[in-house]
Amino acid sequence: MSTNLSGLGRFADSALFVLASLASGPKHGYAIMRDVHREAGVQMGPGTLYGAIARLEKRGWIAALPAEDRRHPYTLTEEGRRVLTEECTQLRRFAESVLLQDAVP
Amino acid sequence: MNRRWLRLYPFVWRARYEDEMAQLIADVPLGPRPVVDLIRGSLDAWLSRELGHLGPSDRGPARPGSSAPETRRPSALWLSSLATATGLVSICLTLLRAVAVPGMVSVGAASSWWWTPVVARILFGGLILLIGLELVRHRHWWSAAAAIACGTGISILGAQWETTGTVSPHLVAQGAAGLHLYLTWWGWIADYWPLQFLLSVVAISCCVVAGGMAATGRRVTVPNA
Repeated sequence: MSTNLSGLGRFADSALFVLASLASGPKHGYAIMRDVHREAGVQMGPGTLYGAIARLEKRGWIAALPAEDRRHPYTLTEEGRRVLTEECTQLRRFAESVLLQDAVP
Repeated sequence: MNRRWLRLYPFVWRARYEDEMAQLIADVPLGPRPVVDLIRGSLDAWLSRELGHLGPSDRGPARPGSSAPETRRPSALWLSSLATATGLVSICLTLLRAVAVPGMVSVGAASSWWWTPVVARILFGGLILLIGLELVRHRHWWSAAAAIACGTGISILGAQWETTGTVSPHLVAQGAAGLHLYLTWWGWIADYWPLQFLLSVVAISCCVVAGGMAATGRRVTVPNA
């Protein structure tokens, strides 16, 4: 099983959104969906959201907490936090290189 | 009411996520886009081997009243659905050879589409064979033997362009008697009946039953090995 998001195929972006949303604390599905829409402007569908959640849970990058009103809040695991940090670092490196190119005529 | 879309998901998935997803879709307006997203998500759940093998430890807390089955192969439903659809198409195409339906493409001998019934029958037979092999993996020996025999028969007989003495022994007798019943649709069914048609109907019925069992998670299980 892969140790980064690239192994998640079409769910890689959604999984990154979910991990990023959980970085600020445990949330259930609807709260994650709302958070992603507010922060990234992306409206995730329920199928995509739970497709990403299931894959992240399977990999042990997030974990379900005891249910509250039939919803399980999810929290980042240590491994999930490591993956998120790694992905964000790569994204920042990429963004910086693009911005640097723009600065050079 | 919107919960019905979640029935598209595999049983193992539903045992784990159905309640949560039901809560979620109750909170959001379920327009065409979320519905398409749910359908796409269900396809992913069925086709993904990773998610199709959610083990007991992956299911989270058990839902009250739910009885999750053993791990099931996600391909079972799709394979049987595809075989059912292909079987029905192959029968329709074969019948279309004898019946001219206005507005439909002709698949008769003079048509450029003459090969479609043959391909459909071979494909159907191949899918039944695949189901047979799948049953071997599940160690359902008698069902596997029946499916493999059925699939082999349909493939071999279906590969023949015209029904022949092999398929319809009585066709030879018809020819000898100067009868040409196969020029009519009911005569075609009569010609097609003896082996191919019977095999196809039996195989399609089995596919529907297998698909239903796979969907409800009643029977199709994976051996521990």
